[in-house]
Amino acid sequence: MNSEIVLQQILSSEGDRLGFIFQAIFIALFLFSIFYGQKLQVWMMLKNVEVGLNRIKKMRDNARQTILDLLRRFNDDPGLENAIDRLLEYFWIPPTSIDPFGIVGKIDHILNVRERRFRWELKSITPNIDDNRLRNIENLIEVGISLDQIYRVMRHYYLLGKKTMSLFLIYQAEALMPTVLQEAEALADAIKAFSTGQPIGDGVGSLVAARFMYGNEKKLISEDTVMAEVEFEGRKLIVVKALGPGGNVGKPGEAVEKILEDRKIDAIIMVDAALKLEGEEVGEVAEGVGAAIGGIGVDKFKIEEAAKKFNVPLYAIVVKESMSDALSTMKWDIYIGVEKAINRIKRLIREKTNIGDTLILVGVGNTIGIGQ
Amino acid sequence: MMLEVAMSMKNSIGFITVFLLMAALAACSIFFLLLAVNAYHQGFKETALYYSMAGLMGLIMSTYTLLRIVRRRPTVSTTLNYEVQTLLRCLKCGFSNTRGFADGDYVLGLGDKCPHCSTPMVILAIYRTPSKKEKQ
Repeated sequence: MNSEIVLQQILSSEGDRLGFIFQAIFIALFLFSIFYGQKLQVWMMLKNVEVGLNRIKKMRDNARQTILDLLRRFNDDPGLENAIDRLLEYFWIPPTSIDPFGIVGKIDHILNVRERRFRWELKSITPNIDDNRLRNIENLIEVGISLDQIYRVMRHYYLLGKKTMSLFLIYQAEALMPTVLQEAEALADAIKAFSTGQPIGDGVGSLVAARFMYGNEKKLISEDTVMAEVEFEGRKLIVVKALGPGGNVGKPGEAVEKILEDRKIDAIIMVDAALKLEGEEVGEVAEGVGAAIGGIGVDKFKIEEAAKKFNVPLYAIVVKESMSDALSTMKWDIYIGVEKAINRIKRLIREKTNIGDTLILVGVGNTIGIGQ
Repeated sequence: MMLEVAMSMKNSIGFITVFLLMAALAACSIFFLLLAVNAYHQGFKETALYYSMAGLMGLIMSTYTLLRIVRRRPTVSTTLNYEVQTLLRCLKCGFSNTRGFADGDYVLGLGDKCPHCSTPMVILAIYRTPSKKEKQ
């Protein structure tokens, strides 16, 4: 027999053997996908959650380290780390909503207590710090708390999912992860701005108000909130904003209530940053009615109640930006938005008020890095 | 803390194991492809087809898995790598200047003196220049 034919026969039989092996592998994979397909899917989803969780952890650790580095400049105490960890785990318990009557007042009270306690704790850690820097560090710790909270919640669902291998738990955690990561990244971006005292996108309302009140006499109207009376084309403009340049949002609700109780007001104009939808441009300005103010809702409630009581129209102007823009150092596009908002306010005043009228202009937002 | 350390250790061991397995699979796949070329040249087309199928499948699977696990390594956000500028203007003579942000700068605060009339200039804006990520 020819040697070449022998080789061909061997290889041909090897080809049959390979075909058999491939068929066996195919059947094995088919059976595996039937019995363990879901487990494999769960495992892959868990891995995705784990990756996101590790990223959030990095951001949280980075925030903690920045806070520590900043505070070490004012306090070299070895117990500083423990004090910071204690602050990062600080929480507040919202009041019961079984009977919702008067819940806003209760929330306001609890938040005030929290703020005072928090400020006292921080002041005891860094007694020789100036007020502006104290407010900035307070904001920075708030960012740290938010990142820590996000990390803890996501870790809880990850570990719970891993423990129970529940497809629905893991599926929810995986589905939520992209938006949670976006929020965490926005918070991580805020760290640089808060640690250096740079103005953030959220301060757009404060900047508009500051531009109106610049060069006029200012006075404190409520805690961390200033006002100035400005003349504009025969109208009296009472401009309200948080006290800067430290990181503050002030108490605009209380300020508006006080002004409305003391004087006759013809209109209230509120300027704030608004979250843009995907596809919208940063710095785009929009106009509407209502109380343009975010947060838990205490200030919004106070302003709406007071406006209704005194029958004063509420006008709103918003400058659009993303969550990341709102929390990081202001972009040039937002300054362009500020100019547009100022022009809109001037037009609104001319159109909706008469000469001799008195109106309130409230610049809402965190005034970090913005004076007045 | 212990849990986090254990998690990161477990992650590292898992990463190395999967990486080594996939690297071995990639090496085997390349070997199979070489066998396929050899078999084709010798005229055993059917055998070459089996080898190439096995080689390609293994290569695709290992490359895909390797890419996924390498990309999975946590990365720190790059949006922090931006520069911050301060825009100053002299309200007396209108001179404007832009410089890097300095500690203590704030919008509508007083900044450096005007080089023309020595009046303290007003900070009109503190803004960030686009980061690499945003430019992309």
